[in-house]
Amino acid sequence: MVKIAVVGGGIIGLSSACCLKRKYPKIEITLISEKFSPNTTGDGSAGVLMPYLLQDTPKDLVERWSKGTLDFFLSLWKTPEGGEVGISLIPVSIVTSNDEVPPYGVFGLHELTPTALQRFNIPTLRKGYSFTSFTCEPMKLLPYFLQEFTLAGGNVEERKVMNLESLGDNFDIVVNCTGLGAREVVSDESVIPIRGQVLRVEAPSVFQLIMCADADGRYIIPNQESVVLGGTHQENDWNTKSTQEDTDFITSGCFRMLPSLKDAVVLSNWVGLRPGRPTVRLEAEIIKSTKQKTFTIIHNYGHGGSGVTLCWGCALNVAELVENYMLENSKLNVKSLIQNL
Amino acid sequence: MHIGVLGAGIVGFNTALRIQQEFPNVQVTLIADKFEEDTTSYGAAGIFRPGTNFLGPTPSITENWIKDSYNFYNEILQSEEAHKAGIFEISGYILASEHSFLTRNHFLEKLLPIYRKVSDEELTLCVGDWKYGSYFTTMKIESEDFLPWARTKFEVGGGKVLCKKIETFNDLGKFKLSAPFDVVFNCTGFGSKWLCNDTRLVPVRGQVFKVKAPWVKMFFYGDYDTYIIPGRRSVTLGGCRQLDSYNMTVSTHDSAAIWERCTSILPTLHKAEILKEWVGLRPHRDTVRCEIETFHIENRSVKIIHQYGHGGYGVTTSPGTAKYSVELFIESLRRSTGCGLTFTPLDSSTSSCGAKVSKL
Repeated sequence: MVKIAVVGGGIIGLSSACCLKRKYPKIEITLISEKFSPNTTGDGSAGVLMPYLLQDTPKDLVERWSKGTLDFFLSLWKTPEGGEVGISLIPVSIVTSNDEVPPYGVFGLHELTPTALQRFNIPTLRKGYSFTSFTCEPMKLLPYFLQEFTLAGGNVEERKVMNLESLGDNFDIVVNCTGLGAREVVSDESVIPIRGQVLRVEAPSVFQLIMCADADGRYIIPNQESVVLGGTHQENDWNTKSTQEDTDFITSGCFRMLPSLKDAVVLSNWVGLRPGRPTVRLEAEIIKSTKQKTFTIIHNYGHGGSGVTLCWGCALNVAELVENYMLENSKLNVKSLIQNL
Repeated sequence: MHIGVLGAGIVGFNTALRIQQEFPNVQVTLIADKFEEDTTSYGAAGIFRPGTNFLGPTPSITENWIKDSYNFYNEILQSEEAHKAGIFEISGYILASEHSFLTRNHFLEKLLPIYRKVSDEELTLCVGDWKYGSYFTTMKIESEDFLPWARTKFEVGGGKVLCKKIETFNDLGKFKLSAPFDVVFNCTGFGSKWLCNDTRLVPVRGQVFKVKAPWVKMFFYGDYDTYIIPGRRSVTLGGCRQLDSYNMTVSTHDSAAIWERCTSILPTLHKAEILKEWVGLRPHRDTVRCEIETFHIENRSVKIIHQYGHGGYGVTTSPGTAKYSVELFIESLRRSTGCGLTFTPLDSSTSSCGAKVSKL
């Protein structure tokens, strides 16, 4: 019987684990992670479904993974659990001083008129888009995934994994969802932190998502109990403490776009280190374990600022790779069966 | 001069503010027996959306009322006061499974920054067999915040508020006031049915739930009389429109119907926490009554300017009707003082009626 381990309990690890459990309910799957919600990278994020900081990841892959995730959230949105799970349907305005292309797979995409652009109080703006999309808050989604996984019989181990070779002794497939941790766990130095600071404020009358897509662009993202104001994207910055400079940068930009935010009470200030990589790494690798057993790693890390955006689409991709493994394995089994006859 | 305003709902306070704007040095006193949560305005979702059947004296005047109201609220929306005044931007969908005309609104299509047909994909956002839909971005004006905000502004501007009940206009002569009223704006909504014996005023009963569902950030309208409108403190689920019903109690049958209709569009509402249910009687009239009448109160000639019968559109149209009513008053002043000034016809699209009269 195939045994699968999923390393990493963040948005990528949990969605991979759940997706695999749904597809293979009888297979033993173990989720191993040092951290779980609310202490994962995704937990502090607003959870916007919008590709962000994916560098050179091929567009067709981003589109495919985004669509897989969007379809997943759309169907959850139409069930009673949708709201509890952290999903929200929200109107979005994206504005830019450059020629940014709108994100793929959103609903009702339209260009903003020059008059509408003026309302954001940023004189350099040239283009803008309005559409409807989803947010999904990891703080609610992750516990939902974890509960689904454990109720379906998944095993959960809370511990730090130092390397995957040791896991290979006991598992046939190891799904590597270690995010920024991949720097150490698989010695991938191309993974770098992209520091993001955000504030959460109390502003219950904000019902729209506003994002300036410029390099110094700020954003306003309503969540269920607070509004997220952001942000920063400082590469190779390991500082997990919020700075006054960044706070001022964020608030000044957000207040300019939405003046009525000035009265909002600040609830928290948070920093997350996004797992940046030149491209998302999603591929199978066959190596030998510590005890020289051959096993398969399926890498699924380096999602930059797009963990929520791509989570389910990538999980489906992982499931496909597992399916390939199963097919290959059954072919091998048949071959060896025939040889042994 | 002493100006009175009767009624402390959205019409009363918008009128009081408009009067102060036109006559900054005149004493204005607002009288009502019901305030805040006891007003019809309070329970309304407060979305800026005039019904296509809404009517004033002429179609052109009606359009101006709506445009003036929009501009009034939009100015506050763009300022730092928006949050305090309970005004914010909101977007959402009207969906229809049978009739495309239900998704159209000739008033709003000319006025709002966005009012468009939905894409096919958008029709899949809600459960149901939707064939037609519109998406638009409008405002919400929550009386729970707007009324106190307006009252503060009014009092800071020198206005006085009195809590008194009036059975007839003659009662106005019985109060101890700083000076007797010269003119009174009657913004009593449904109260005018008795105060003015106006049989054209008919209640249209509405019932809603107020629920906690913080994941709902957009509004949805669906077949028929179904709406889901998020707000600062709760989401309003509605509704019904029962003509000539005076029933102020929550009906369990209406509750069940509204709940079923709303949850069928948005199943996530099954997990919403019900905060309360509320019934309001919309002061419906075939057309809004905006006209001047002269009364004799305690041997004094007093102008009463009626401004009632806004139906379900008091929030949406009262800044415009207030402006119009005050203009009616100014015009009547000019006529009675025989100033001989030219005045702009009241149903033009200009924003003022020419020379202002102040300091009387």
